[in-house]
Amino acid sequence: MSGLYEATALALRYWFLIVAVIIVLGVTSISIKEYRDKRMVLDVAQSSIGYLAIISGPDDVMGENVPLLDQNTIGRSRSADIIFADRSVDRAHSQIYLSEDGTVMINKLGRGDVTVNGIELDGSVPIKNRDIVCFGNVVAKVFLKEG
Amino acid sequence: MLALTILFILSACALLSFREGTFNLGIAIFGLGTSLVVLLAYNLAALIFRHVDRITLVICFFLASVGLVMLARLNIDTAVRQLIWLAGGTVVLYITIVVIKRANDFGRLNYLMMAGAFGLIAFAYLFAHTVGGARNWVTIAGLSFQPSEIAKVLFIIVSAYFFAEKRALLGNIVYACFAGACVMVLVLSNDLGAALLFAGTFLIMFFAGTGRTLLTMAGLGVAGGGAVASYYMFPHVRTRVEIWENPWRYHRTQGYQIVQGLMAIAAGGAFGAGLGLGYPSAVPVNTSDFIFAVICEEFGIIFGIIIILLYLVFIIRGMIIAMNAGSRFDALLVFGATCMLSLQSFIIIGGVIKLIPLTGITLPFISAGGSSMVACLTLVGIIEGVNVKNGERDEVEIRKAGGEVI
Repeated sequence: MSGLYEATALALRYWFLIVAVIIVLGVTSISIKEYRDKRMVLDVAQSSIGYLAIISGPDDVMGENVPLLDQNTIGRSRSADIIFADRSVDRAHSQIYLSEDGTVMINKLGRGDVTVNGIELDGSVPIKNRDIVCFGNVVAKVFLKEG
Repeated sequence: MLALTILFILSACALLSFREGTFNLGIAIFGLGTSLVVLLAYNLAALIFRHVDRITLVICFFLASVGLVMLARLNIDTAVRQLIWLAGGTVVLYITIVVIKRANDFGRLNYLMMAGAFGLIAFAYLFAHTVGGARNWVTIAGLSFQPSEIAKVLFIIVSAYFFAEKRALLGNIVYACFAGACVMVLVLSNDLGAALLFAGTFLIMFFAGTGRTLLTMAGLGVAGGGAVASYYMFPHVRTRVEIWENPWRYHRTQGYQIVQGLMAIAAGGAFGAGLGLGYPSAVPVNTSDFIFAVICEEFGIIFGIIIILLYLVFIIRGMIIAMNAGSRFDALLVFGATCMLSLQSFIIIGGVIKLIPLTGITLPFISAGGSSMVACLTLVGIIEGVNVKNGERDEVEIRKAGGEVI
């Protein structure tokens, strides 16, 4: 019996070592990954001026919240900051940006329709919290941070 | 990670329960109980507080499990008592998180805490009985504990308060006297490990709080000078250093502990002698101060190094939480708690492997000792509490940008 115990104990010490190694490696790698992800998310969150809540539009963005940075081009093209893959949206459709006096402005870049609270846009106008904006068939509600 | 911890406990206890040739039901039940406590403690924390730092928790519960397994192998009674302390300490951990989350700083309460901390240490000096050369054990109503452990937590909070902002001169003078007096009394009561711990934490927090290199250097000089002075003034300090210089000369008397500890580590080799196959009874105080030597003997030196690595990851997590903290008080609080735990593990591991003179303190989370376990978990509670605060602040930030926190 004691011989059996000895053999098991000798074998199990490698198992204990493996457990410890996995834990230390796991803890380190999770730490690094978590730290990076969190940094990235928080950087976006801190530099954002608010977000667009998509009320209706293509399935992939429906119901999503899209963060707004200082300057965002909106369109169908891949080079746009906010992409809506919808035929009613131009390749470069519209732009939302923070003006120098601190108001958030929206303007029209392409030929497609842009409306703010149902009023057709011509040139650039300021937008406020809880405005409804439409880009072609995509409808979104604007949420802006205070200040 | 937690699943692996549980597997570790269960397999180790299953192995141990066959150690004496027959099946020992007590150890098997102990293993199940330990797994249950660890599982519950971790999951409850994650359930009650959304933003608790899980990595830190996993590390301290894994370390505690290693300690419990080792204790079960050495002495099942001590192990059961320690398990109860772990469960109790976890409750204290939750309470600390709630308190730290609510508090901004403790204002005038700090003076009360200062008095409390000094009172505890002085009380220990006057009334405590001596265990292993240090006068730091107090028995009240059949429950013996070390007052310096509770004083540690108070010391961190008070220090964070005074370093967080510029306080009135009088307050600073009172604080400086308090810190000096704490260390002095600890040296007098021969609790050198705790004295070193308080002095080191004070200096590190001073540097972090004020950023004044020259003054910190001066403080380091004073501390060094104090150490040299106490070498000449107190015979017990001198003996410690002499033993450290050459333990083999005193291997039958005062050097016995260190020599046996070193022999145990050497006997273990890289992969250890196997759980239950070493001779830990040859090492004195094998359940508390020298538990690191015993772990190295049975699990191997590589396992011992991994334990040190886990402490390192713990420290780094603490620093990250401190840097994310919203206020200076919170940052210093976490910083101090992390420093205290890391310094404590450095002092005792260093002492056991003869890197620095041996001073008897416990290895955080691993050593047997109720008050030590509770104090360590309270310090973890401080760290977690600030992390919960950080998490809630970040969540608001992310919500403003339209994000969700999963």
